[in-house]
Amino acid sequence: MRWKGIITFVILIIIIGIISTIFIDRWVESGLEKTGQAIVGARVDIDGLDLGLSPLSIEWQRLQVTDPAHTMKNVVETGRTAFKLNVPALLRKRIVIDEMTLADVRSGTDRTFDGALPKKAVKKESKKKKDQPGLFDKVKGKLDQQIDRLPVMQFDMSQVKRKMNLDSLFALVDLKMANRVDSVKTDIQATSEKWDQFYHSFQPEEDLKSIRAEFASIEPEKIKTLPELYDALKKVQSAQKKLNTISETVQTKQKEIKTDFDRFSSYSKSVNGWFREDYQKVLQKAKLPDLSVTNIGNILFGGTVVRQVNKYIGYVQTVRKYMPKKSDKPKKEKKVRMTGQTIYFADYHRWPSFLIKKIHLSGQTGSSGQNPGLMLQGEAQGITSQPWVTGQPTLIDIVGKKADQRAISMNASLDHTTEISRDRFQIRFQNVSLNNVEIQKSIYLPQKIQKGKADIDCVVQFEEEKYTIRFDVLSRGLAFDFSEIQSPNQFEKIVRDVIQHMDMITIQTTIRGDGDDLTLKMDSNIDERISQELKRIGAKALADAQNRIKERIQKIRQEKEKELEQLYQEKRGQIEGIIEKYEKEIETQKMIVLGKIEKIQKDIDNKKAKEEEQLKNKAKGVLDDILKK
Amino acid sequence: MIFLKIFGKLIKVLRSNASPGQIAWGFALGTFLGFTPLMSLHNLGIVFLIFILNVNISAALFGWLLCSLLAFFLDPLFHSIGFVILVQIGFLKPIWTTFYNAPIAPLTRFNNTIVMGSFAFSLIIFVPAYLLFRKLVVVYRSSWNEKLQKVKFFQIFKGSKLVKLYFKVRKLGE
Repeated sequence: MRWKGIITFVILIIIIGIISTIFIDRWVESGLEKTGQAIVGARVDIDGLDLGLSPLSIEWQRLQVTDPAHTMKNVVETGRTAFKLNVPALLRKRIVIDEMTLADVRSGTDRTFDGALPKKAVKKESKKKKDQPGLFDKVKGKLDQQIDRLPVMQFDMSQVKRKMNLDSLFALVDLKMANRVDSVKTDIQATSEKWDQFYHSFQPEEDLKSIRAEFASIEPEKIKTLPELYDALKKVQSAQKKLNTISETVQTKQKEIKTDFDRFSSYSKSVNGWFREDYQKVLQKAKLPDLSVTNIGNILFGGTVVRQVNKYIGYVQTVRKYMPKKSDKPKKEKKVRMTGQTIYFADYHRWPSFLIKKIHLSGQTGSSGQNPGLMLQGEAQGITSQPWVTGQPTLIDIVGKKADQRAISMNASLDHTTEISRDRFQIRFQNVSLNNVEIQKSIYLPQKIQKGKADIDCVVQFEEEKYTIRFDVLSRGLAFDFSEIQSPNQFEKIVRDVIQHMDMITIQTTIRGDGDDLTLKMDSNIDERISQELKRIGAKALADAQNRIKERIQKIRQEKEKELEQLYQEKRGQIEGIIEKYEKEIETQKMIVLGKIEKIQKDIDNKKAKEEEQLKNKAKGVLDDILKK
Repeated sequence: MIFLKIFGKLIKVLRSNASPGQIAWGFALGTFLGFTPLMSLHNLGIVFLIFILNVNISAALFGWLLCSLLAFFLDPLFHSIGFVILVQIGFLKPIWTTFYNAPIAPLTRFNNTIVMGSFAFSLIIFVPAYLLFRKLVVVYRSSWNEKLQKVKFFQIFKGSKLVKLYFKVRKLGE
């Protein structure tokens, strides 16, 4: 035992204790800031943090959470906040806060310095995120893809009305119908050659000639004796066998020829499809507008709505990342170098690693006292890193109101207590002022709404891989600023006119999906109005243009079909003619052979009867002679 | 510089007046500090033992330095050992669950695969490390010391400006 060692150790512990007491506030502050930054992706600043030891509590004077999209603004800012830590839980390495009050919460406040993270930290964070591409990234990606794929509306009837040069238009399009008909013709040609080659090697004439000669040499009338008749019958039957073999070959080949040529008749049905395909292709090249309602809503508002929806999906994605679902048995992680994997066991006290049982929230939106926003009030329950330990879903319920009837309500239920995560997030704005609101950049829409009000209702629901997202907007009393649209095209003009004369605009968006499948449906009362307007202005000119194109393709179709039919009939006739000639000849020979066989058989029977009669008579004579004696 | 430091420390330890047993125990305790993550609660106990027991502190420091270096390469092994102990050996689960729910015990981070794996590994090699290092000290003192002094590389190494500078700086530090 080294007593000096004990003293040194005690001194060391005291020094560590003193240092910790001095710096613990800074360490906790820094730890909380770093954790927050990892979640938000922008600076989180805590000012004046104080860790009280008796009772164990944390207090800060100000918390600022930077808006990652606008780093000179705070998404949330709080005033003085104090809360107690659950000591028995802390001794078990669990951070449990029974109750927390966040008063004077404000959103959208200005920052005194930029809240963007240094590039290194952002890179590190994005690298971490890249390692875990999940369902949410896929959904966001697919939504963006759908919007990017939407066609650009180029509705200009002056171009349509202008005389279309069909020759130059058709020269630009590779018509598949003509090529395909040509390839069918090549196929008919090849089939015909195949059968020509067969006829080249199949020469039944010689055999038929010898059979004919053989039959001719057999003349039953001239045969006198029964053995000669039997001999002739054998010869005829042998020739019949040969004839049957040739007949079978001819019949088989005839069937094959029929099948081969029947195949081509089915092409005529495909021509209809090829025709439609070519017609659409030429229409596209001619840039004739589609006047149907479909897609107008998507084209006009798709980008704006999808970006907003992606923002809300991002919230759920962040929640799922930091609130994992229950997993039955821990799986061995691979990338855990120097950090290891934490294994969790059953908790008798139902204390997860991190839990805030209840947060009372009050505050207001808006950054300054001169322009106060909505008064907010709400509650959040069960914010935890291990929901399955508490067995309770996280519930958030926040409402905001103002005397001018503006209101906001947000509620969420995030249930990760079982192996299937169920998240529901709803945000509703009522009477939101749209005065001077800038719209997402679009070539069709105005840059700014001068005045107006809107109700917005968004519901995002995820159940494991299945999801439904609804985003409805009802805006009224609208006035737009189109001043930045320079020389709009006709479609833009129509949109402008329609929008300017509409007092109320509704947009209903539904996004449904399961795993990789996603459907985006967007309806708006603008759709029908714009479609009607488009039809009114350009229906006749458009129909004329479409008819001219259709007639031209129809003409090409008729020519090609005629060529095809001619070749088909010619080749089929040729090939089938030869085989039919053989069949006819064989049938004639078969008739002859049957006649000969019948005649010989008859002669044999007659001869046999005659000889029997003679034999009987002879036997009778002999018998009579014996009896007389 | 870390290798120079380790080598210098080893020579210093081997040539000190401490008994081979004291040196070997110091080294064996140092392996705990080196292999297991330093900022773990159980290491406070190990440091306490190093201070109060009559073991060679320099040997413990040497063991810590050497094993910290090795721990970097043995990290995946520790993770696997820890995972087996914490997850795959079923009959130990009630013990871990009790620990998990007891106060203080979770602060040791025993439920981390690397902490558990490295601790188990250190525990397994504790006695062999002691025996091996004891043997090394005895053999060094009886026959290698003189031979080593004569080795040209050692003389060059000892006489090099870099090493002299290092020892000067270290002396100043002491």
